Order: sequence, then structure tokens, then C-alpha cells
Amino acid sequence: MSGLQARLLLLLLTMAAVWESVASLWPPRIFPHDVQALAAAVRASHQPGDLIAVAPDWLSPLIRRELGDLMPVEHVARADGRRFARIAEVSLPPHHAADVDGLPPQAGTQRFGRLQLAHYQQTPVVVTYDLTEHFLDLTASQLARSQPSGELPCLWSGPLPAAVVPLGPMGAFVCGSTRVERRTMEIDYQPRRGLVTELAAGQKTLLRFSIPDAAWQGSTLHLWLGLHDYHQRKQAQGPVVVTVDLDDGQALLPLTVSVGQGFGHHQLQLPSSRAEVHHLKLVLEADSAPHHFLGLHGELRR
Amino acid sequence: MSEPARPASSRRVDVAIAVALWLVTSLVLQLASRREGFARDEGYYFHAAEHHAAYYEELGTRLGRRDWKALRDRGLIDRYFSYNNEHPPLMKTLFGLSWRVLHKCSCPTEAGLHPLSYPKRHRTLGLLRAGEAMRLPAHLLAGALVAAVYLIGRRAFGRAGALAAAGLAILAPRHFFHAELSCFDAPVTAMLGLTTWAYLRAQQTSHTRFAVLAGVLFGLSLSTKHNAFFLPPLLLLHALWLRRDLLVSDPAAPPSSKLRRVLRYLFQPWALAMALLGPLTYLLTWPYLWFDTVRRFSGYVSFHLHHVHYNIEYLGQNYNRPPYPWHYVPVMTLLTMPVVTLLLSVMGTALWWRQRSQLLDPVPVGERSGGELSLVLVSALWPLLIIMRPGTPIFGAEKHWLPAVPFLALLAGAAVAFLVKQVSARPARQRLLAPLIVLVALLPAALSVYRSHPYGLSHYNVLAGGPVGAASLGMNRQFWGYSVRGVMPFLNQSLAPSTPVYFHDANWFQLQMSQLDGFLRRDIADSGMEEPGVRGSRAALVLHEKHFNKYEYWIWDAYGTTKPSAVLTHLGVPLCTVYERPIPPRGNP
Repeated sequence: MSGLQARLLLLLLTMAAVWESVASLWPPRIFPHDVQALAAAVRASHQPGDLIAVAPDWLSPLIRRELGDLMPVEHVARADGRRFARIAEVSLPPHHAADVDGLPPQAGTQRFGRLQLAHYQQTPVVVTYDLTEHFLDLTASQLARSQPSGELPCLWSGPLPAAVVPLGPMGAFVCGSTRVERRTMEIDYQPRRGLVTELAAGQKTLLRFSIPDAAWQGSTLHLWLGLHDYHQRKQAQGPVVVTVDLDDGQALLPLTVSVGQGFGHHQLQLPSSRAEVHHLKLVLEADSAPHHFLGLHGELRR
Repeated sequence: MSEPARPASSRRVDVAIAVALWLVTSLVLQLASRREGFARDEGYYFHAAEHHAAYYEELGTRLGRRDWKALRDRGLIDRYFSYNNEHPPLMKTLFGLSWRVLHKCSCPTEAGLHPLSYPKRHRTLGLLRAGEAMRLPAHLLAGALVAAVYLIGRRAFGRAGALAAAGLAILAPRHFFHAELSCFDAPVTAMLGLTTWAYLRAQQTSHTRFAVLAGVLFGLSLSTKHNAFFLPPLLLLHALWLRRDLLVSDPAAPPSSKLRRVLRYLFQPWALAMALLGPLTYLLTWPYLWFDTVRRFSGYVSFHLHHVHYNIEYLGQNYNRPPYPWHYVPVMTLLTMPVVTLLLSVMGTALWWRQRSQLLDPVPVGERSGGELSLVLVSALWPLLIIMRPGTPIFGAEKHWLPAVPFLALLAGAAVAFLVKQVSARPARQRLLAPLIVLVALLPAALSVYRSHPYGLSHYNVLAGGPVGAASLGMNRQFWGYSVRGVMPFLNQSLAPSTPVYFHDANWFQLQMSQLDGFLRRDIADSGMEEPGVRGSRAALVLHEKHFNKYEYWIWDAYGTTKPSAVLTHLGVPLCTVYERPIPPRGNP
């Protein structure tokens, strides 16, 4: 190598050293004052029922630190954002929240340092019945997989859900050694609000909802299914089968929930027969039940 | 090519530089570590360290009374070495002895914070806090590694390159972080580096003392961490390749001479020393193996062969079972090491390949070539290749291939030495430029360590876009719960007396050390583990790792809010979030 080549190499190296040193002295960062200014802007335009969506996910604690009072768990752990008319999206470009995919931003997108605030509007879906909200109206029971009869009820145990959460275990429908709970689930490492059923070996778990005709007619059943808790997923073997029984057998739809899937979305047409009350039954079972914590959320939407 | 032996004054200067590097590195690590949170595994080792120190204290006392049976008292050994026997004892013993000699003792008033009860104050030098004293041996070892890197580099390619290599060996944010802790990863990196240095000196000088030193250091490496078992095959292959001339046969020589040659080739002094002194040193430092040796050693090996596969996030995906992506190791290295260090290492490798003769200093008279560059190159690659095997756990990220770092630094140092020699043919100009070129090499690395501290485990370099870019890439932000130290001021200030806190991934032993050293209030209580711990708490922490998301969701449900009270960040990236249970209106529980 000639002296000239060596000097060129040294020059390149010096340039790299300057670049890296500058990046260490002034690294990309999210400043607290930017987060606070952004939060003030969100708060100024916020209306009750607005969704605050954050992307990427890792920003969420910073935003909730400032705006958590406007971000109830039902919003943060939503299945999707279709029920919200107005969405304020806080993002670190080029990231975007999935809730605003396909929506044009309103005028007035603002930058706060590296963060961006954009507002979106959409025609929201009408949710006529929410299975998670109606958790306490649920009838849960278990039935041996080998026997068609002998259904055992799962009775409520523990404190009822309340605005102020008491210390100690949460209440749940208890089915022998397993439980049906309403909680914020971890499915595919995302927060999802819904119902969790721990499957029992050799048992089917039956979840029944009675839905008024006014909510039923003209609606579509949206069902999200997935397996809760990474630690359980690591040990779970094989899928869960969820059979959706609409109006006592008028429609029977088997759905498979595999270990690796996320919060799978299914849209099911409802039978249009008239009745004062309609019946939605979900039958949950797995050939290998241990470590299967089935998480579900459902809505009747128009 | 040989050159006259360096004058004694020059050798003395180099020894003085090596000693200075050792002391400065140790001092910087000791001072820097005072801001470093205690890590989860340190908690276990602190616990074991006090046990080990107690063993040697009790043993010494009994031997002082001429009770020689104490040496073979299985009850005594089992009492103090059974805990944490899945890891060899050397570092824990050194942590414990350092603590025993140096800590400022108020032990009788610290009931419940030690694994053993101390009704009387220890007589100690009282120089350091407990955690500082525990960590000191790791700092000294890292310093010794830096000195050894300097000596290897000095002998191979001169002072400028050696200084750059020595600096770069520790000025890597992740290595610097691990070198601060009372854990094993940086110490085994140091031990393997020191053993390799002794082996190299044995090759260069043929002195028996270096062969013996290599054997003893190998035993100490084994007693530090099991990575050491992977070293002998590497050194053996290097030595067999290096001394292949011993196999060249003289057609006139008798068959017995040929056999002797083969035996000399296979059983080189360093190899004999490592084969004999290594296991002996290993056994001597680990009294737990003195009884029921086969079963206990098998248990130790089995623990590591069947180690639980913990979780690690990589490019947005959580991995907790094999097969792991082979590219995890190179990509993590690329995104966490200082970029200029990597560039220099690549350059050093290329020069080794293309311009070896211009790279190395002449061999001093009385010595021979030790195959320095090839040894450095394979020592840099070997730890990476072992972890790149798809079945090898990757949950410890770069700490598992940390032993590559000093050798990457040596490759970088070789490139620096080459540049110094090539940019000008005039020695005077070389002397002028050498410090500047070393500065170009060291400055970005030093700044990256400065910027990352005390969250070195959360560091990503400019190629990743720093921690912010890495968070968006879906890279692991931390493990071992070490960042909990950053929220302790908030907890100390905000929490009511005796508040039960859910500490998530921070274990109680690491928190106890934080209480001992005055970082966390003594009255703050641990509410327990998993969901019952969350639901029984009045404040709760979540340490952000992808697989830990569910714990934050538990907290939302238990507290009825998603609004944290505090978020600890590193350059704006959340590391630890604190929640406080909302105070219920009067009349509610």
C-alpha cells in the first residue's frame, strides 16, 4: 500500500470518527419538553371518546405519562380503531398506527422535535353489543369432551369489577380449577382487552351470551381470537378449536386458533331470524389443553 | 526477520504503561460503577460471595487453631458452597473476599440484608461501600485484560497500535457495562485474554514459566465461567498449525527420533501445563467439587447443557427457543460495537490477509514468531461462531461473545499501527502523527461509552440510530432489571412509609444491596412475584422488554389506570415505568 493510499484511508477513518463522535454527542433522542408540548396540543383538541393512537408502541409509556387520563385501558388495548370517529395519532415518523391506515390526515399536522401529531376522522362503526363489556352477563360452564351431557356451571368468585380496583385477586367465573376472566390480555405481545378462558384437560368450556334482537338485527359478529401470555404460549402444544354456535345451531362455525397467530379477526354473518333474544354460544376445546389461555373479544357491528 | 532485543529501558516503559493502563482502567470502572444499577444476577452472586468469604474466614480460624480436619470438613464446605453451585466459584470468592476486607461495616444493624447474620462488626479497612467492594475484583481483572492487550499489541506491532488496542478493548459500551458488574462475563473475557497472552508468550519465548502461567490461568478461567472450556481446542489448533515445522522429517533420522518429534509436536509445554495445572487449579479453587466430584460436576455441566432458553427481542421478534437466527451475532455486534472500532478491525483483518509482512514488528532476538495475528483473528472469530450455532442460547446477547472484544480491539490496533507506519516514511513525522491517529481511533469509542453510561446494556450505535433507532427496529433494551436503580430516587421521594412495591424483574437480593448502599429506602417492601405481587402492591414497576409487556397489562388491570407516575428513559427510550395505585375515595378499601 502506498503512502497516498494510507493517507486516504486515514482520511476516511477520520471522517467516520467525526460522524460517530457527533452522533454520540448529539444522539437522536426524544426530549421531555417535546412530549409535554405535544401532550398539551392533544389535550387542547381532545373531545370525550377520541382515540389517542401511538406509534411505534415503545413510545406509549411516554405519552401515557402525560395523557394517561385520556387513554383508558379499553382504548389502549383495543382490537382495532374502527369504532372511534376521531383519532389523534402521536407518532415517530415514518411509523404509523394501524388504526389510521387508509385515512387522510386532517390539516394541521404538527411536529414536536422528532414526534408528530396528526388528526384523523372517520365514520365509525356502530357497536350494538360488546362481549367484553357484557362479561358479567355471560353464562359459563364446562362439559366433559367425552360426554354430551352433565354440564357444570362456572360460578362467579371474588369481587365484582369496580371503578376503584381493590387489592387482591380479581373476580372471575371459576370452572373447577380453571377460570374465565375479563382482563387486559397479552396476545402477540400487544395489549388486548377481552375475555380469557383457561382451557381444562378433557373439558369443553362453553360461553353463552344472550343478545337482544335490537342489537342482533343487521349486525355482523366480529370476533378476535388469540392465545394470551407468552410464557404459556411457549409451552402450549397444538391449537384451540372455537366453535361459534349462533341461535342454537342455526349456524355452526368452527374456528382454529393456533399458538403462533396473533389476535385473529373473524367476521361472521348472523342469521336473520326474529326472536326477542338471540343466543351466541362459543365452545372452546383443545386436544392438548394445558397452557392454552384463549383470549377473545367480540362485537356486533353495523 | 529478527531485531535486536529491545533495551531494558524500553521494556520498563512498556511495563510501566501496562501497569498504568491496569490501574487507570480499574479506577475508572470503580468510579463509573458507582452510578451503575445492581443487576439481577449480581444479587445472587453477592449472596454467594458472602458465603464463600465466610468459608475462608472460618477455615482460616480453624487452621489457626491447628484444626487440620477443617480442610476436609464436608459440612463446612457444603454449608458455604451449596448455594449457586451452578456457577464456578472464583469470582464469587474474590467478590466476597474483597467485600470482607474493604467494606464499611455496620453489619449488626443490617439484619435481613445479609445472607448470614453478623452480630459483631467486621474488622475491615472500611474503604468502600458493600457493592463497590464486591465489584472491585471485576474492575481489577478488566484492568489486567487491558494491560495484557497492550502487551500483546506492543510485542506484535508497536506502541501506538498497542495503546489503541488497549483502549478499544474496554471502550466498547457493552463490554464497559459488563466490566462494572460483579458478574462473570467480563471477568471470563479477561481471564481468557490473559490465558491467551500467557500462551502466546509461551510460544514466543519457549519459557516454561509462561507455559505454567498459561496452565494456572486456564484453571482460573475454568473457575470463572464455563466459556473457558472452549479455549483449549482453539489454542491447540493454533499451536499445531504454528509448530507444523516440527513434523518435517529428516529422512536420515531414526524412527525413534520421528516419534519424539511427533510427541514434541503434540505435547507442547503449554498444552501439558493446561492439561495438568488447569484442572488442578480448577479443583483447588472449588471446594464443592472435593466431595462427590463426578455427580456434582455432572450436575454443573448438565445445568448448562439444559439451560432454560430465556427471552430476547431481536428485530421485533421475541426469541425463546431454538433455532435462533445465525445473523443475530453479527448484527448485534454491528449495532453495538463502536463503528470505528469495527472498521479498524475489518481493516486489520484485511491487512493480515494481504500485507502481513508490513503489519508486524520484527521478532526480537531470542524469541520466535508466535503466530500473533492468526491467533488474534481466530480468537476474535471463535466466540462469535460458537454463539452463531442455531441451538446456542442467545438470551445474554453480546455478553456471551464478549471474549471476542479484546481480539477485535487487537485487530483494530494492528490497523492503527499500520496507518502510523504508512502515512509517512519519516520517523519524526510518525511520532507526531501517532498520537493523533490513536486519538481518531479512541475518541468515538470513548464518547459512546460516555453517552451510554449508566445504561450500557441499552446502548446501540449510530448504525442502529442509537437507542431510539434500535427501539424502532425492535431490539432488546435491557435485561437483568439493572435500570431499576434509575427510579429509586423517585421511589424514595414519593412512596409512603412501608409501601409494598412490585419490583418486577429486579430480584430482592439486588434490591437489598441497593438498600445496604443507601440507594433505596429500607422501609420499602417487596410485594411478591407475578400477578399476586402486582395485585397486592401499591406501587409497581415494569422493566421494558418485549416479553414483559404482560406485566404492564397486569398493572393496568390491578390499578385501574394506564397512566404511569414516572418513566425512566435513556435518550427518550423508556427503560422502566413506575405506576402508583390511585388513592381510593374515602370509604373504599
